[in-house]
Amino acid sequence: MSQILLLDDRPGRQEQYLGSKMREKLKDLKELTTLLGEQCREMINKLNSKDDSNLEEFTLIIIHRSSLSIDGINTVKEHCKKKKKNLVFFSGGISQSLFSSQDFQYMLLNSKDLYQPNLYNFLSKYVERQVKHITELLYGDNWKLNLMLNYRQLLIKEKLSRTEENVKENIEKLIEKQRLLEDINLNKEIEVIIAKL
Amino acid sequence: MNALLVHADNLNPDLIKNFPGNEVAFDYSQSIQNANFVLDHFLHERLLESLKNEGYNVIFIPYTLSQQNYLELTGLRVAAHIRVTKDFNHQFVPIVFIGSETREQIAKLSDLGNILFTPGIFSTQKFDVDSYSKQYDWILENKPKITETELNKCFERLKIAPPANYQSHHSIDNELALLRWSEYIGCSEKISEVKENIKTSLYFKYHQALNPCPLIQDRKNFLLSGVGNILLIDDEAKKGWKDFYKHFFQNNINNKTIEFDYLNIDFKSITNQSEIVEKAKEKVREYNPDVVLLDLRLCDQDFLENVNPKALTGIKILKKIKEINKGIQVIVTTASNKSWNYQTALSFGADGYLVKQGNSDVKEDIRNLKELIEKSLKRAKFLKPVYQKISEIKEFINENERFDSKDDNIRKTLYSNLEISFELLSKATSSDDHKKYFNYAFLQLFLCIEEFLSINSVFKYGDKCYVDNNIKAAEKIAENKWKSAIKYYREETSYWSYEENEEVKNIGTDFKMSAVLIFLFDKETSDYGNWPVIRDVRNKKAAHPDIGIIEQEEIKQILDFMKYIFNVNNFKRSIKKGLMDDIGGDDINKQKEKFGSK
Repeated sequence: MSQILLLDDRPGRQEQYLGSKMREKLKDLKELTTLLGEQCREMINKLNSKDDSNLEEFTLIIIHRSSLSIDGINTVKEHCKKKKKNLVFFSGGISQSLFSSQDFQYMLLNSKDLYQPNLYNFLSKYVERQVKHITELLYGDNWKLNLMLNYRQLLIKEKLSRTEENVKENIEKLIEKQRLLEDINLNKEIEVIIAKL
Repeated sequence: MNALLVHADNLNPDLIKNFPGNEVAFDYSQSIQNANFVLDHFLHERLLESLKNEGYNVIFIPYTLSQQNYLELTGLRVAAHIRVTKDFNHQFVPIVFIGSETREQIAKLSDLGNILFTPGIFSTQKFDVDSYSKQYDWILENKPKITETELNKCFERLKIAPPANYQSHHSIDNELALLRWSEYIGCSEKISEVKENIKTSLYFKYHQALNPCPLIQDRKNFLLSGVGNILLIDDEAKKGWKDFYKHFFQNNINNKTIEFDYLNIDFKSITNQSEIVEKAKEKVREYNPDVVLLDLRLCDQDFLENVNPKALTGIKILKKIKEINKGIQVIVTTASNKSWNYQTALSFGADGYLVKQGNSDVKEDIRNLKELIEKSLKRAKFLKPVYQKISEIKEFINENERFDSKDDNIRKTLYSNLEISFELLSKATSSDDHKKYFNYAFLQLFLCIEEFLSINSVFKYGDKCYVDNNIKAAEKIAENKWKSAIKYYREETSYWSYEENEEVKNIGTDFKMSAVLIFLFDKETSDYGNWPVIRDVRNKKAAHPDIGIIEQEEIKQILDFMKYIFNVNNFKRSIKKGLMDDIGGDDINKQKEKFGSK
């Protein structure tokens, strides 16, 4: 089982985006530690004073970025980088959700993209270690399409850096390599998936 | 060719190297880990740097600028920035998207996909330099620029949603108003974060492209007059409004007389509305402001659709402020132009309304703000102490047993008269056209004195009149003829004094009050607490607003007088005996005979 931490200093936001039913479902997830409003103040203060000891047990950390100071943000980031953990920072002011897998899996999400109907499914799968790629949180079932598009981009680029080679290998591990290598199949697969959207 | 290729090193390096124009890499994959990374800010700065001083004919952009997350499709965002930003000088330039996908496919994958179907947008699924050169030539020949009309069509077709923390268009207007007002009064450097956000955010740029604001051409320092404390209650205070108001109130050349503070709490982390209301109430009690600038929407639930205006946090705070002192002037500040919110605020006692809009006439806005603040400070200086006095009078009435009556009717009547008086005073100060309401308020207050004098234990009226139940102040000896225990002195200001066996024609309010002052409060004469002045103002001025308007000082005088006479602690048993009892009987009959009374 994987442990997840969710810190949001704006307690009204979950209610606003998720509604009470979904919130109740999230509460039932035992491996999810959710601290809202004043409840998260102590932990936020610790992180802001560069103390990351409270993060040890978690493999996925989700925090409202604006609740942290620059020191706090860097503390969390360095912790995740060092321990190769998954980190999601979210904020209402982020205009476009972004993802990077350099050093560690990192997502910068708009609050709307975090608090959406897929959240519960994603977290419950994550707890059970059933999530194959962290972008499943953002794209739901389309996470595979995203990887295929990335893969196609890498194929077109041809000359890849070491990092890009790693990314390519990781994608190959997640999606049936044989099919991906057959360029025609890849294009066709992408076309079919998009057509179904 | 005079073209620019924007990429993120996500294309074949040979293609980038051989591109027959300029190329620039926008690689943000590392930067997104920075503590304060904002994509729009990053793109704005890079585009400004790459385009401002150039004059490219065509711009090429891959659909995505991410090497690891294709579906970000940031190329679309870059194009949208170019279209909505005048400062880049490339609003009308054709843009070619590069990618294996069709435009239709991309449109299905991104909210910004609409831009692909606007004039001057082209695409290519090729990844070779020759194709780009051919496409460049074709564009220059067939569609070298889009027109102004086409650009406007593009704005209409683009559907850019605001970031989630702009919970309604009001939040956007709020921020735009802050920037424009700050620029106008010359303090925009104090709101650098907001300024940067508005100048670089795609949404704000798009909003401004759709709703162009009048240019702010002149800047002016306003000489704000007035004295007092102003409190701001606004969840956006720390985002710049406190800096704007502080500058506006205190940075004027000759004005250091206005104090300013704001409710410094973390609105976003407070779970329930009542906690915000309570903290606001505490702050009002502690700071004792003359004017409160109050935002109506202060927590998440205020932004829910169809929220009842009465349930807004600001309205609840307004009620609490008015419970503390109705004279505190509350100016509701809002970016909403919903009239029902305004009506609700007014019905709960708001004294003014300040609408913050993103595209209004700034000069007019600031002039209105100045007038509103000056007027509110002036009103508060009068109404606040007046309400305080009224509250104290109510307390004295509450504690004084002489006001006991069946169903507590006397108290109820007095409280009602006092409330009405305050409402009249509030109206009187609201406009120069309403000054006559000072007179009506004075008359209403005078009614309270008359009500007091109608209490038997204060002044019992009859053929024999008693003060305090046992001091005889007058006795009727004939029609329009009374034996009196006090004498009227006609001087510059007429008054009464203790003097037995005097005669008077009638027992009016002046007689009653004078007798009460002399016997119940043990004063030598009725010239105490400005009573003769109050009496004369009542008779000669208050009832005749066409002749004269009651002054604020005269209102304060009557209130101070009421404070004195309603306070049980000021009653003092007099050693003055009043009329002797033996006046009655035969003596009275003789008198009646003498004056021909039946």
